[in-house]
Order: sequence, then structure tokens, then C-alpha cells
Amino acid sequence: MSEHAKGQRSSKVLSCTAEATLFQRNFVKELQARVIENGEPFAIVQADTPHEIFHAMDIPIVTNQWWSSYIAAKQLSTRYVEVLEKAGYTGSTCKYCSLGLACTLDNDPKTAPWGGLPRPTVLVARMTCDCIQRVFQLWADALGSPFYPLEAPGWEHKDTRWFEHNKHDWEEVYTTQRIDLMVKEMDGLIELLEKETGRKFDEAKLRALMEDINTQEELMGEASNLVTRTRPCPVGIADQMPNVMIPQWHRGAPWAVNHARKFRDEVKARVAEGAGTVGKEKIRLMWIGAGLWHDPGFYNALEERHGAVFVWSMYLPFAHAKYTRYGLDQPLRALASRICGMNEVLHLPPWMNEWMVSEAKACGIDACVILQPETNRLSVSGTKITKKALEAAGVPVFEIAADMVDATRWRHEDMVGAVSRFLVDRVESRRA
Amino acid sequence: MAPASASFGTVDAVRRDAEALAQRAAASGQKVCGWLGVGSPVELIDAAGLHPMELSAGDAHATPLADEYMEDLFDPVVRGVFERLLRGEFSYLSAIVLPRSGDSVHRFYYYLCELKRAGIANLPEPILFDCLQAQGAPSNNYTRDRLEEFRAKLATVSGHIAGEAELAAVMARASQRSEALQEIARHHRSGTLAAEEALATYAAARMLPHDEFLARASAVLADNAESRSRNAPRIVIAGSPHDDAGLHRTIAEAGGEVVGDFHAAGELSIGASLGRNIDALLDFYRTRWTPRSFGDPAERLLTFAREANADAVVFSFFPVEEALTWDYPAQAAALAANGIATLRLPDQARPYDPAAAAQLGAFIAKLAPRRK
Repeated sequence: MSEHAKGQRSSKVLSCTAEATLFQRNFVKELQARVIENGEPFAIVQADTPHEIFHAMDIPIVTNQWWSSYIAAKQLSTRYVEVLEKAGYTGSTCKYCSLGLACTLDNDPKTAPWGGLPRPTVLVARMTCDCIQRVFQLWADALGSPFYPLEAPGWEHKDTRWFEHNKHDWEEVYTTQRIDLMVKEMDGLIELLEKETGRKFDEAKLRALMEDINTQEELMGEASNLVTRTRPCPVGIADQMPNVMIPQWHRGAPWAVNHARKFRDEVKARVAEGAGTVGKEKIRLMWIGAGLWHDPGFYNALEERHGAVFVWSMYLPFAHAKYTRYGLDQPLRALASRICGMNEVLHLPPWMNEWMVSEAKACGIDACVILQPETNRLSVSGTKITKKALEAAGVPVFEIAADMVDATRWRHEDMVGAVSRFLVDRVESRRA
Repeated sequence: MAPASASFGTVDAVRRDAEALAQRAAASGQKVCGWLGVGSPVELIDAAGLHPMELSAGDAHATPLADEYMEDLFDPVVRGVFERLLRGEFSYLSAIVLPRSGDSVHRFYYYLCELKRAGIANLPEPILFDCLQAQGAPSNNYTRDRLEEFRAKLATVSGHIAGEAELAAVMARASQRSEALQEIARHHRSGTLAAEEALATYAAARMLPHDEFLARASAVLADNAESRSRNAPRIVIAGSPHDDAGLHRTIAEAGGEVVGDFHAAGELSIGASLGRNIDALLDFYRTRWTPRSFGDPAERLLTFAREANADAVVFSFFPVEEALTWDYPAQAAALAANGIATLRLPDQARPYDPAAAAQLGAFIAKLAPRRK
């Protein structure tokens, strides 16, 4: 079976979804023009790094995870996994973080999206696992650019209600010492960017951007509450993801803020109409993990058969819960607090399980599907403790072994069938 | 102290001795602090008046209790230790130190904290050693502060605040252990000490009390002064750590001779700071080899293999290994460019699975003529 045949398209109901997708398509063209044709300085960065610095300095960024999903969407993940294997990088190689490296190592402009990435000014990653410093160093070496690592220190202060406290009390939740460290690292990054690009960092500009980001995330928070707390759920994951993720890549930009408002308004209108994702919503599902970028149709597949709707995926509720920062007198400190727990709260106990259980209760979740990426410790960690916590809270959980971007072993029908059986056994039979 | 023996035997024998001694220490009122991970600052545990012991996965090959909470991609040694903790086999520990210097160990810290917080298991106090290894002042200064906090936490467990003189004394003891191990490694390379004995001695330095280790290590060195080299192909083992000598025995049976262990349970576990104060300790732990240290892994292995006068390097990785496998292609290329053969075995389970014996035999058979 070809890779293309495995994934299925998702169905969407909001008009702003198409607008977001179109914006991103145009943005990609613009980014490609700036980076490839105009040769502007740009950076390759991990998703959990301070993009705001680059936005404030008007330096284009290519986000590694976005680039991986772009590669996967171009049906190139299988090819690039083979490139890594041929180069000797076999074993537990995180595909989500390494497809971009593979694309560079392949060095085949005819195949690569955009003909491959040119030499960036810098590559930036936060060292949240053992492999990322290696992937980024290899990538930097291959591109002839410096790698600027950001530490991911330990986090001993554990506020289990971080999602309630961290908008205001971020200094306490993320701890002064960890924020101090990240601010110093960001100072160094800014110095490097100023030196290499000739562009100047302006703290007032960052503060204004952070304020606009707050506006955007507040709107996303309203939309999130409407989407995840309303019965029937007005829009499913297929509409949620592009409308939150695409603006999130551009957070604080006028388009992103306006789009968040548009999304909130459309969702609000559907709630007012009582419009639901399916004819009759019977089962409310939670999806834990990154998006299944190679098979977005998976999320719609259980709607007709079971009236089962994925009402919750982390991207939308996470926007307001994690990104919003009040008290912007020292915008770099506020930004540091946003970044320095980004990964931890999504993948480590107690932050992950406490948030997921709280959300499941608030959203009336009937069952949960947890993605278990087989080659990515970072993404898979915390899932079993979260599963136990959810089940203890009365939410049955199904674990699905799959990768976010590598479709090699994915079989759409088999996976849908497995989840369907789980819903029959654990949800429908309980109600009968 | 147990009578000095001229052999540590096996890693498992060392483990059993060490655990018996630790239990005895706990029964006599001394607090025992387990640790796991090559970046654990044993000197500070020692200085706090705690009985330090590296935790071993022992016979925990099936891990049903740990599997309930820990995903498949965790290091099998960490998983085995977790299993034994949940079985209650470490109930005599007062604390467990986990450094940030490896992803599995670092995440394990959060898991233990959560199980303890939720009242799921009766566990010792998990203490994180938050050592950062990137170059530069921010990481260095951050770690300096965490080092002091770490000392204070240990003092809370032991009830003893170590002074600078005590710290200097335990650092001197760490240097003594390191020097003894360097000597063991030299004997390992020169063929006067069997590979399995060397591996057990490295484990003993991490698990046994200081005096016990030094006495027995001296006896081992004294009893193994004559070369037993078989003029066989000289092999270095690299990759994931080995806490049993199954691969070493298979290589010997195939006609090879293991002369170096380039992994976290082998020579990479050796080392001590040069100075005798907290800043020297900081420098040592920030720069020592760990899965998260920086530096050129190819150059490091090449230097090691040359010092061992190796004919070949055999790479063996756990199926879940996600860091060291990224180092492998450059390491293999550097070795090949310098005339050192390499073999990467299929993913290796814990304990060692002899399924690759035939492959090893064929590889070593090809090496044999090079020694003639």
C-alpha cells in the first residue's frame, strides 16, 4: 500500500479553517521567498523555543516540527527515514525531530521541499531529551551553521494546578532560578542574532508582541471553552488544529490575533445554533498526543459509526493555559516562563496527568485515546501515569502505538477498527 | 569489613555483596542513599555521612510492576531498578539520587516523585542532581547554585552538614577509587586482568563501600599481575552499558579478547575531580562523560580504541537507545579511517542475548589474521 493511500482527509465545518490553511500556504510561499530567493537570514528552531524573539526581530524561522509535518504531508517521510537508515542512524531515532536533518543529509534539491533548506543563521533547540542535542549538532554541522542549545533544567517545584496559576504567578510556578537561566540564555541568543543579522532587538517591541499574544490566547481560551465544554461539541479536531496551530506559529501577529477572533466568533455562532460535529453526539473523546499529521481523517472516522467526537486535543486548550502571561514589565522573564516548562507540562507527571484529568472532568469526556509514539521517548513519556489517572477518574483509555509523522506502519482501517472495538467494549457496553 | 578476596567474580556477585552491606549499614542506623546514573555526585552523598550505593537492576528482567507506569522507551536498567523499588527490595534506602545527565534517569525522578506524592508506592526520597553540561556561564552558574542546594537536601536526609574539610577528604577518596580503577583498566588493556573481572571491579567501585572496594581491588591487582593475553584480536565494546559479561564471554568464546569497555558501566564510569573543593567538583560533573555531555564522540572513542590498541570495536545498543545511536555513524567512520574494524550487533536486550554469537564469530574470524 502506498503511503498516500493510508491516510485519509479530514472533514471540516468552519470557513475560517480554510482561511487559516490558505494563509499558511501563502506564508510558506513568502517564507520560501524570503529564505530561498532573497537569501534573508533565518533560523531553524524547535517548537519549544522562544519564537517571540525572532518575531520581534523580524527574522524568519523554520520550526523543526512544522518542517517535519510538512515533509510528511509531502509524502516524503518514508524516503527520509530510509536516508537516515542508510547513513547509519538506525534504532530509536525520533522521526518528529529528525526528518529535517534527513532532508538535509539527502541533499537532493529535486526531491526536497523548497529544494532543501539553505544555510540558516543559527539552529536553536531546547535540550529536553538526550538525542536533540545530537540531531541539532549534526544538522548544524551539515548546514555549516552554529547550534545554540538552550538548557532544559530539572524542575523540582511541582504545582499541580499550574494551568490555573501560571498566567499570573509564573515566577513562582516556573521558579526564579529556571527563569533566570533562560533569560541569560536568551540574552546570548539575542547577541548572536544581532551580530549575525545586523537586526536590533527592541524590548518594547517584544512587550507589545507579548501583549498581542495575550489577546490572541485569551480569544483561543474562549474558543476552547466553547469547543470543549459545550454539548454537542461544535467543532472537532480537524477544525481545531489548524485554527489554533497556524495562528500559534504566528502568535501575536495582526493576522493571528484577528484569526483567533474570527475562530472564536464562528465557534460561538455554532454553539448558539446548537450545531454539532455529528448528527447525534454520543461519545465525547479526548486525544492525547501530537497530531496524526499523516492521517487527519482518522479523527472523523468514528463519528458516523459511534457518534464519537474528538472534542479535546491539547493544542487548543493549551493555548490559553500555557501561553498567556500577565505582568509584562520584564517581557523576557515572562517569555522565559512561557518556554521553560513548555514540554514538561505536556509530557511529565504531575503536570501532564493533573491537567489532563482536570480537563477530562471539565469537558465531560467519555473516553480517551493516547498516542504512544514508538520512537520518541519525549512524546511517549507520562502517558501511562496519565492513563492510570484518567481511568481512576472514570475515563477509559485506549493506547494507540503510532508515530506522528512516520506512516510506514500505520494502517487507517486497522486503527479505526481497534478504537471502535474499544468504544464498544469500554463505553457503549457500559451504557447498555 | 568482609575479608579481602582476590576476585570480585561477577557484577551480580558484587551487587549481592553491596546490597547485603547496605542493609547491614541501615540496620545499624546509618542512612543509605541509592543512586543511579553516571552523573551522580557520590562524593557529596559520602560527605553527608550517607552510605552511597549505585542501584542495580539485578534480576529484574521481567518488569510487570514498572510496566504499569513506565513506557517502553525507558532504559532497561532504569526500568529494572524501578521494578525492584516497587517490589520493595530497596526498602532500606533513605533517599535515591537521580542526576539530570541522562533522559531516562531524569524522567524517572519525576515518576518516583509522582508515585510518592500520589501514595501509590512507599518509596525513598527522590533527590534530583540538576547538573547542566552546556558550555558557558549561565549553565555553570546555575549548576553551582544547584550543587549547594543538593548538598543541603542531603544534609536534611542525613542530619549532617559536611564541612569543606570533609568534602576534601571524600574527594580524595574518590580520587583513590579512580586511580585504582585506572590501574584496573590498564591491566584490562594489557591482558593481565580478565574482562569479566574488570567489569565486576568497575561495578564494585560504584556499589561497595570505599574501604571494602579498595582492599579487594588491591588484592585483585596483586593476584593478576601476569599477562594472560592470548594474542587474540583485541576488541573494545561500545554503546549501551553492560551489567553482565555475557557479550564479553561470547567474544572470548569466538576467539577475541575484550580489552576495553567504552560504556557507562565500563571505563566511562571512571573519573574524579582534580581539585579538592566544591568548584573542582562542579567542573568535574559538568564536563564528565554522560549521555548529555558535549564533545566529539568519534574522537573520544577513537582515542580510547587506540589506547587499547584495539583491532575492532563491537557496538551494542539497547533497543530503546536514542542518544548513543546518533554518535555511531561518525564513530564507525573514524574508526574505519584508522584501520579499526567495527561491528554493530543487532539491538541487545538486558540481559545479554547470545543470539548474535554466530555473527560475532564470523567477524572475529576475519580479524584473526590481522594479529599474525
